Amino acid sequence: MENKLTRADKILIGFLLIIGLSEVANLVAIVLHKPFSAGIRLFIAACVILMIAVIFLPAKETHRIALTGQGKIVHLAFIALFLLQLLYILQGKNVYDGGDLTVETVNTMLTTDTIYQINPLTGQAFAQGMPMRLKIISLPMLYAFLCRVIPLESYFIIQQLVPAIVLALAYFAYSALAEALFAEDTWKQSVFLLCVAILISFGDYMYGMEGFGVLHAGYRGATIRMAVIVPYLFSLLIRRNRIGIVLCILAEACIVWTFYGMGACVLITFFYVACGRIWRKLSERRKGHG
Amino acid sequence: MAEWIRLADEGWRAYTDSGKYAALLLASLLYLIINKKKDAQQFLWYSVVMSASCIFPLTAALLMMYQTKFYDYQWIWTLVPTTAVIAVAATTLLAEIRTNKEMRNLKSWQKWGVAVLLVVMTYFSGNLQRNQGDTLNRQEQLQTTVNMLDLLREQQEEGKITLWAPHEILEYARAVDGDILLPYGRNMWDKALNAYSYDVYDEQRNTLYEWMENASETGNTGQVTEDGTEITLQDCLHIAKNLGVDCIILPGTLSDEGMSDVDICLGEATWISDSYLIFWL
Repeated sequence: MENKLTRADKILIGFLLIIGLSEVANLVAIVLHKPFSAGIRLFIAACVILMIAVIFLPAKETHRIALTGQGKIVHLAFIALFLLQLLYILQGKNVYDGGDLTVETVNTMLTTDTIYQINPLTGQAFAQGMPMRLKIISLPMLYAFLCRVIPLESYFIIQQLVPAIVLALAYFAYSALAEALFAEDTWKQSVFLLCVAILISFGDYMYGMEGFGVLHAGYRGATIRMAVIVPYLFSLLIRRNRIGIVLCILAEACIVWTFYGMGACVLITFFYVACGRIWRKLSERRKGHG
Repeated sequence: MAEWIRLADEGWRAYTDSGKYAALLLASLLYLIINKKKDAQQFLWYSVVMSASCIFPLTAALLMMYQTKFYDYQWIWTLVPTTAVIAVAATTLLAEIRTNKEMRNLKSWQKWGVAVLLVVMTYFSGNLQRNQGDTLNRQEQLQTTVNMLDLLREQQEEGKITLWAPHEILEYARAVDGDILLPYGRNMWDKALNAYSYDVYDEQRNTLYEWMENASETGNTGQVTEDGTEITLQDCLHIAKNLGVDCIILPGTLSDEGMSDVDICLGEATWISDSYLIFWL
């Protein structure tokens, strides 16, 4: 399969790299016992280098067949539904924050200039500390950076603005998957995206469902994994883009607690490759018998 | 292992009780297998194998062990591209209707009717009761906290404030203002948050929490514990001062006897409303 970088690929790979850079900054600050502001400076420097590298990176564009007639109507319907979901998220009336302390953690970083030395729930110093498996999660560092540069309340940025960005990223991921599944057929790609949008809209009935995560808890690592990284991973597996697959596995380890880095992406990749090999062997045997 | 299998079995029942996307997924997989969709066969067979693994208790238990006890059953379904598979099936069906020679006789409204039917089926596959109770109170509670903290900041514009208040104000206090310190946090009542730290609350903090919750619910400022010990407002004030509390918010629904107690121990409130009373120590 061809491995041309599309617009969706650039955006998603850029997102995965940003997660990686925030992780590096987070780990350096924790291991070297540096203040939060030092971690942010390192993150900004790394992002600047990344942006410069991206500008000079050669990129190829796929030739997109323009939508006509019915395809345009489908695409417009998708855009309308996306905007409605965006409005729903930005209103912030239905945020689910049970069992999560991201906002408190970010606020603690911003006000005390420390990383995981102060209990975010009380603002007092830890007596025994936090588990290392949680300290390595880099999303609070990334969100704290956003709160530092955007002059809005941190709970608005984290629980409403970030989920809006995650919603857009989710549709880029599904767009990449659509192109991998229905290459060159833009009508099917549009219909696929519209179906995804409808399924997300009606699928918010239980915590743990993709629709619930995207519409009510888009800032959580588990939601970003489920709605952005996993669909994008499948598009990369179909296209056999190994570098992208590795980036997905590493990004997941940075934003969700996994068992020593072994998360959903590792298992998906393993079973996907295994299923492919078994399927090809069975096909060859059938052809041989035929 | 038996425990894991039991959890997997119960998990599957809870997963399908709330909504029917799992049924849509299985129907979609069946359709795609029968349809013999040539593209992305590997994607299809992976979805079949992983769906089966998530449904059958033994394999589901193994997947739950892999993801660790930190996550519940429904999170193993992250491994199954549920949304993508259902969307692929719907797209394939609609494309079939659009291009198939045998369906040329279908009128335009009939073809659109199929699309509408799919949307209706999807809608009714969700849980019509929409379990959003946890999210709807958030906006109201957040606004209450913002209002109360604004009042505190009118009286002390900058610097840290160690606050003791009913849990509905403490819930979002640190999310709204990182300079508000608390004697105990949300993990006092949201036990899931205890996974984030090795720290545990001592008896003094538990006493403060229980007294405040009792005062909010009953309006009484005296509380008798299970072992017969009486905890008074005076006892709690002593603990609060030791823990560095410099601002107390009490519920405005205290009984007459409770209010007398408050007058004796704390004097006049800095701010009074029907809902809350603010005192500075």
